[in-house]
Amino acid sequence: MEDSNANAKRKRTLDIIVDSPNNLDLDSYIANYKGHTKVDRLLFIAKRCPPLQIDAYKLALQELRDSSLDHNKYLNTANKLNEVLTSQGYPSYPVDNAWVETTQKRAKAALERLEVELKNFKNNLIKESIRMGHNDLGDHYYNCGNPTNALKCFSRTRDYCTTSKHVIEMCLNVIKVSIELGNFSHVHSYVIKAESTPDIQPVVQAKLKVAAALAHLDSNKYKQAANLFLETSFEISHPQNNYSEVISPNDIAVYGGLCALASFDRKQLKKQVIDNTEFKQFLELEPHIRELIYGFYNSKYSIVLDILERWKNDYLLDLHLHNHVESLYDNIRKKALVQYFSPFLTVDMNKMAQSFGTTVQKLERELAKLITENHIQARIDSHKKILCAKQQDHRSGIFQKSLKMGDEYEQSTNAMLLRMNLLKMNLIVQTNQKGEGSRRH
Amino acid sequence: MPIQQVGTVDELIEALLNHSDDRAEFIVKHIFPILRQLPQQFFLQNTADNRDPLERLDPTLYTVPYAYFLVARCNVERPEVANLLTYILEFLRSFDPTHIRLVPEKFLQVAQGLCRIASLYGNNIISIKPLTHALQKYSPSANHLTNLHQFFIKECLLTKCYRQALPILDNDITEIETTGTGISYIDHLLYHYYGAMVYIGLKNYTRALNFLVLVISAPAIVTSQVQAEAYKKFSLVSLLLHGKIIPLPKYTAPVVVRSIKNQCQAYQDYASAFESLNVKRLRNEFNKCSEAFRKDGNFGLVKQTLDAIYRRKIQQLTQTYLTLSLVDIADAIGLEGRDAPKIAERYILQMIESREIFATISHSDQGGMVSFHDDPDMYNTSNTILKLEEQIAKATKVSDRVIQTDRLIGCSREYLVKSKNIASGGVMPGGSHMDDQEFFAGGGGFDNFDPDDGGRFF
Repeated sequence: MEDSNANAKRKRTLDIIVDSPNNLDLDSYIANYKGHTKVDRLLFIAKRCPPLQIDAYKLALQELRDSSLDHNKYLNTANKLNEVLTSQGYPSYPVDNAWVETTQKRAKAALERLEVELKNFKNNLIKESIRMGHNDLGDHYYNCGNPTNALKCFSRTRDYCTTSKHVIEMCLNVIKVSIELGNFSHVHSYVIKAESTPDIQPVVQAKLKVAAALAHLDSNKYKQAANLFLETSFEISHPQNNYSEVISPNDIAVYGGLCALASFDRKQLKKQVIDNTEFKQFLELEPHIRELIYGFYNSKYSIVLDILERWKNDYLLDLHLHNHVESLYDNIRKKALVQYFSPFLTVDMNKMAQSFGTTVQKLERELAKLITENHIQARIDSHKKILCAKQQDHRSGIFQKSLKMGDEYEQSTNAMLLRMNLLKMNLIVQTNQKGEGSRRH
Repeated sequence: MPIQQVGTVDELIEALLNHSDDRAEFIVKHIFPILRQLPQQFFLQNTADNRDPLERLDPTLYTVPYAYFLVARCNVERPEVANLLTYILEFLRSFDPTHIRLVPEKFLQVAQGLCRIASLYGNNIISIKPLTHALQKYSPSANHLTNLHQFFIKECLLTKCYRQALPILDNDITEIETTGTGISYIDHLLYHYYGAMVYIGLKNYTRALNFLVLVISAPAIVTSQVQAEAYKKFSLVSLLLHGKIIPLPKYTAPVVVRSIKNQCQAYQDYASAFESLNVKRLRNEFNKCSEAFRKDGNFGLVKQTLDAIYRRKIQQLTQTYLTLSLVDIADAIGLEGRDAPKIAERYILQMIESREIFATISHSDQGGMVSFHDDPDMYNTSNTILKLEEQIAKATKVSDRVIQTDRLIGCSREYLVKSKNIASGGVMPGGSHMDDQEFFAGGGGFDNFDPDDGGRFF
């Protein structure tokens, strides 16, 4: 994980340390995932959250040992765990050296075997076998914790795909590895590729939607992300076809809910979220998100802000969500302020500050910013602390506009006439006109 | 009967008086050749009976020879100031404009002579008024540019008679005629540049900006230094007026845009600092470039922009607030120090006076509370009607002129020849087909002009 380029990008939020997660139960949280994302998420939490560090490392080690061949990461993680343990005065964790050694050997042997096989397949020129060979090799690299090579192998299968099923398999593999690498532009292009194949299964469709949504989330396009999360079919949560090597259904509820709140207007929220039976099933998994959305829709902003505040630390510990928390929260708050004011002509800022759990001064500043950015058509009475809707005087506006237009028309037409006559008389700024060109002022 | 060779002033006067034909062709054909070959020295002589030859010539009938005499006398080292002044003033009062347009350069020299004499006389300002009248008489119409225009405006600038320049400046120049006015491109550039400076002096920034845009967007294949200087002033005036550098017309010559980028970097940096409305950043930029500003002679304007940033910020506050205390205003617009609210109050008072904002200040509580109002002009008075009618009249006038120009083009030989070629499927001299639109473009830059525009406006 250290060398993945996703980290380089996320470094700017690295300094955020969460002291106490509010609602996070590590065991049940992580049970939703499997494979690499489970390890990555655990390591991420370990790095961000000192109180959960030891447990997270231990769980990660177990996962690595049980279901991967990634001995390097195992050793790294064990070292880190031991550092923490010694610094806190605990006995150090016994590293399973025997497993490391055998795994090392096994991995090497498997790699050699697979490479030889692939060579043979290539000599025999059987397309399907070559594809399988590349695929197996990719899987092996992936298992050994070498996503870059795995990506290469998976991409190579592209030339040997014969059926649409193969194409989809290839795409899903590439997407999975690319998400792990944080290479979301890759994710985009392969999602499009996969979606253009015929006979696509609903489950695959759902997976692709989630992957694309993650990509949009990564590039701060919350609206697109929300749309895709909301369109995701609930089938993805069935045990036999889940996508837990990337994302859990709970995550879909959280990501989708927050993105929708941050980017949708009230009408969209009702139509696409609250009336969305498919997404309702996701929301059942995370009741607080449901409460959040209903609270927002019903204009109970203190509830909304309360829930947001309570869950903030958890979201900061989420692998995909953490560096969007601030801007999502910001957007939701802005939306709430705008929506709060929308039915009124005047609003008492004291009351408003109360509903939003802030002081009048801070609220005033926030509102001033919203007004300058043209989100709210209103003006602040700073003396009486009242927010007043702007009275639009269209009649005066028209007068002003037409007078201005008349002026502009006269001026530009005159300029045009002058220009035309200048050109007609060939009075062009140039160097050799009547010896005056050198006469510079 | 052609005029014979003349050897003395008396002979010249005799010849002139005998041929009092005031048709232009006659002057060109018969008088010019004589005057041209006479040396300057000749015009300084007196008649045989030791009288001043100008006494015998009527400036209205013999405008051209009169001008020759005046120019020669103005150019000597020690002219007879008082005497000459009377003659020049007499000449400027009663010259014949159609005659003098035959020798525009002489007329300019007379004007220059007047200014020289006036300065020798010790009173520069006396030249301004006669020149104004002379110029109005001299130019074929108020919308024509002449070779005297830029000289006159420059004199006004030098003598600080800004207001006296307005009767000339307030007419937009639209007509350009090289014959009879003796102008070159530099006259157009300088006239509008000096004009803009006059308007800046009078704080009429809207007109100043228009003039500067005319200079910058003048058709060009190389960049004149005047244009670069105009851009510098343009950027500052634009900041004062709009808070940002407004875009230049689309038809601005690319070469000018390029050299502006190279030459006026300091101004562009300064403008972007202004646009950010960050007082600290603007001050930094100001300190960095103040030497350059001073060198360009734009220091005064730049200092005004330092002031204007506060005004702009206050203006922004009026969009956001209905009431705000002076302390908060001072804080919001970035004023510092103990006196900040007082300074803020001064700004607001000035802005209320100049009708930039509409507000009232109450000192009853909290050390000063400002209430911002909307523009009280509801556009429901007879004033509005008057204003509208005036505008409509102006617009109609302009569109009439456009229609007239359109007709003239329609009748012009070039147009007819070219459209005939197109109709017969012939190939243009350039080798390619040219449609009407391109033809109207006439050298580029005229493509967004639509002759029907005038009709559509109202």
